[in-house]
Amino acid sequence: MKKLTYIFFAAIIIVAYSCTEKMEIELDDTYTRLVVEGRFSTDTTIHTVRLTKSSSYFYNQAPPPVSNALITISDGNTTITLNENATKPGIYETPFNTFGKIGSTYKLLIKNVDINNDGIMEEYDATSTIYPINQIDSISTKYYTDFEAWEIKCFVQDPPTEDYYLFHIYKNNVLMTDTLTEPLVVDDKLYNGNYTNGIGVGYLRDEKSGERGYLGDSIRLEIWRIDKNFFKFVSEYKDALRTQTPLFSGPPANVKGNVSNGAIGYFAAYSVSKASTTIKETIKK
Amino acid sequence: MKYFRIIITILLVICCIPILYASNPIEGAEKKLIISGSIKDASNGEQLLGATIYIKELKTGAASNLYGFYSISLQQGNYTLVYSYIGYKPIERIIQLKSNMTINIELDPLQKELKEVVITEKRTNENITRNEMSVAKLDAKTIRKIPAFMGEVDIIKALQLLPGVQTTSEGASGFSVRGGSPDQNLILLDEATVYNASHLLGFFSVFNNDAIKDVKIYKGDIPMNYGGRLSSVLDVRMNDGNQKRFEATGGIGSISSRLTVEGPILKDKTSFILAGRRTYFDLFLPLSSDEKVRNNTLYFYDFNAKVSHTINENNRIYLSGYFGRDVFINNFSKLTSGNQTFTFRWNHLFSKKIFSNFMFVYSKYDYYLGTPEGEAYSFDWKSRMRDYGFKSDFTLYANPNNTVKFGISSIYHIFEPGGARGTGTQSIFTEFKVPSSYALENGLYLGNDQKINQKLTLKYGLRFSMFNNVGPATIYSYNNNFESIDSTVYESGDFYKTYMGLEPRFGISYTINDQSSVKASYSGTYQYVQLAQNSTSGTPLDVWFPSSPNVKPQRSDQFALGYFRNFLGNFLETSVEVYYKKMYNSIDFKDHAELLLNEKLEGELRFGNANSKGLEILVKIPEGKFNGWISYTLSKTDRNFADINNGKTYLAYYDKPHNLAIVANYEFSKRTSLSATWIYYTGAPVTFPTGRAEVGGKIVPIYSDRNAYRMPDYHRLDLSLTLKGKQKPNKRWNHEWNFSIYNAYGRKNAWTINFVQDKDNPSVTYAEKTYLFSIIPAITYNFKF
Repeated sequence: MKKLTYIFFAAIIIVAYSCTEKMEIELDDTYTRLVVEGRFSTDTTIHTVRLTKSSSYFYNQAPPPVSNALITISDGNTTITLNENATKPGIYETPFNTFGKIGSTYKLLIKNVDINNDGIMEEYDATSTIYPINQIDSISTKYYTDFEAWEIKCFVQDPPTEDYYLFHIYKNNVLMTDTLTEPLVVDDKLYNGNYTNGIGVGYLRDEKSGERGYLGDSIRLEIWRIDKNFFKFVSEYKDALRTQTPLFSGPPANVKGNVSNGAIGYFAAYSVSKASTTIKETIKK
Repeated sequence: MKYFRIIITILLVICCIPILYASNPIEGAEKKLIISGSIKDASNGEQLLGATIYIKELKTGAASNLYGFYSISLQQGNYTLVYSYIGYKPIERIIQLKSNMTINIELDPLQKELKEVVITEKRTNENITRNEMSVAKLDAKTIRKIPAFMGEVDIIKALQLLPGVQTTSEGASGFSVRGGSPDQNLILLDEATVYNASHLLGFFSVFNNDAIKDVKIYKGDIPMNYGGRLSSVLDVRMNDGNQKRFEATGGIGSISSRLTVEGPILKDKTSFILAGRRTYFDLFLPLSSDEKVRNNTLYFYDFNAKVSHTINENNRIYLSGYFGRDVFINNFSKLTSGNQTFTFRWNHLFSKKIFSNFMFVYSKYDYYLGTPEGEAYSFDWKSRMRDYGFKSDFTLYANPNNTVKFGISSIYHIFEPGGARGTGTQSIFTEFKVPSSYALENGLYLGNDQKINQKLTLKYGLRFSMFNNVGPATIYSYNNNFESIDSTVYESGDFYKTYMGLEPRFGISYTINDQSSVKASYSGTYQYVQLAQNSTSGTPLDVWFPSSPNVKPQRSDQFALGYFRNFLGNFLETSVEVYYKKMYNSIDFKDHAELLLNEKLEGELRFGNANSKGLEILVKIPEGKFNGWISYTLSKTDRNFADINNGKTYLAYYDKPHNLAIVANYEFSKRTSLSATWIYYTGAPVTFPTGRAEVGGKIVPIYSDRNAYRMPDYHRLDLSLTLKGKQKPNKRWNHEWNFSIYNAYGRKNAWTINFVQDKDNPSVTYAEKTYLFSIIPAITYNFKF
């Protein structure tokens, strides 16, 4: 709901004729940090952890990968070792047949990296828990002329527990919500235990040519039941990447992840529920 | 217990003073006689606040109070009294004082005879002699001359041109006084609190200048009859309505139209004023080529109304109210917000020496946000806060050297921070409500203005404030990580937490000579209610919250020292003030704080101290063909919070070291005048990235310490030209055209700076500034008949 308020103000700002312009600014540099992106789900597949380094703000190149790390994911009983991909440095993979179990808490352990170049190896860890998720009953699509977008509507029962969700949209098997700013992330505070009645959980906007939806396109929704830490991370992440204005932005602040030892990023374990549909009408514009 | 004894003592004193003086056996014994009365504007019967009475023989004087009333005690004898007020022709009266006298004076405004206003005219030096500092007064006429954004004359924008008063962000109605945050300003309209003084996200203020008589801002040296905010009091008084004849004032502007009607109901006894204003830029939205803009409705309106009635010489009553609303509607949502205030006042003279004022006040601020029914996301969301208050103030004109003031105030606050619920059968949302809370805020004060001799005057007083949280309530307790661990439920009517504070106020003024004086002051203040907002500019989604078991009241000590000097027979007024302000239990918010619809808001708060110091210089030509002022402020404001910025001291957002404003008006002729304002200030502190990391397919900034960088400096020139219609002696219709240009040289002042990824090459990041307004011209047509 809070997000809705931004729509109001965005419209008001249009009226206020604001303009933007590139500008030169000199910035200081801060020390280098390890950047972790780790995901582990209930799907049976290859799960990846990506390690890179932070850089100065105007570095303007792809982030430097961190190679030769020793990485494991463990639920306390079983330990899975990840191996670095031979062609993609900094990407570490589990075997193709691994999956996370509902109710388990996983610990990511990263060793044999030396980010601060002091010759002493550092160690990083992070934990995340997989919670149960309800199966989606169905999804449908509806075109909104106001937004010039297809809305993906979701029908699913929310359980009475405190839950956090992330909604990914695929079109013809291609992930549309391909940066973490795009998927909707919610807690169920305002609808706990309710049926979702086809509430909109994602949009295919005409203004983005890759997203535009046509008759016959297959649409898939993936709901991730994430833990509270990852929910907070994604919320802060979106906050940090939203356009800052004096009207509703608080002071900018770092996005806090769950990885120890001052690393940036996250390790998220989650359960997944999926449903598909196809676009069944043509919209005349 | 110590506090209770103090309260009881003060109460006793307060109760005794009127009894002692009302019947007044002392009067005769002293052989003192009283001259009292009211001072009004001869053209419309409006009371003049702060008009001066000067007794030539004694080289001393007095001033009318906030209701135009004055009282002086003198020995029997012959006196020459000079009544004067800036912008009015002084009146001299020679009297033989044998018994108590009532002299009601009506002063003629000077405007009619502009040519005769020459420097030879004796000007008042009340800025030198009055024992009052850190205060600025603007009247409606002065404010009208200042070039206005989109032609909308705006009190708050005018105040931001004074030393020590800073805008928080371009276009915002929020202002920071001497390094305080915007919610530390007590904004009063006819003594009722205005909780959100902005329209349309702050680009306009709620005050309709046509209905306003007088604006006074206390930046320090806060009079003891005011309490409840740390940094300032903005006291806005509405016109009482013309007592002499019917009059209509209006204007048609680029974005709004105004109409004010006023006049006598009973001549010289009862008058009314009714003022309304509505914007109509929504009428132009359908012309937009963008369909998304076309379907929007966006406007605001407000009404001011007041009735004043003089029952007899000793009793006057006033009823006044304000109602304003912002409305924004598009196809899928609606947002409305606004203030409402109501004041009932009764001025009563117990005797010629005891002036009293009794008031009931009501204030409300609320907003509503909703979507149409029938969708899964349909909801509405309401938030509201209300005050019911009673105040009484007494002034005892004990003798020429002592004016005793005392009074009480009591406000009942009702906070309804917000409730959201699904609407219609389709909605998935259940009702979610942040529980309301209730509080009682009381104040009690007693003090004296004392003239030691011709040169030295003192004022000293004590305000005692008390704040009670009243049940029902559920109060969470928090651990060291600010996570809620437990909660306590209090029954309806439980006074579950009480805070008390002693707020001494002290001022001293030493008049060196006719042309110069030195003044010093100290104010101690407490604040028990505050705004949950961490953006700098502000939105209508205001949530105020009270002190509570988890939130200690904010407190401040402020010291100020000033030198006042007039030149060229008071033609030029100058002042230099330095201040130091220390604020305790200041409130800031944690990173990524969730302030709306959060029942655990208190867990988002962080507490610390703030320091502010500065130097303010004002050079002013108050009247004449060429008038205006230059104001310069040099200041520093920083904060230290254990849980923000890793405990390191950081600059407050309001820290803008250099702040300069030049306001100039030149009257070419009776009918043509040109005004210009130029403002310059150092860019506000900001937090910029000092590193980056790629996460989730985007480049995430790694930030510097809080507010370690600065925005580019801000400057802007505004111009306005007023052309008055020909005035004919027997024609009532007067009109004028006003042409204004905002940001005349089109400076692209950065409103915000964002760091963005290049669309074509996502590895490249750059800084991008957003600026709001380049040159904005506006035309306004004003009329009066």
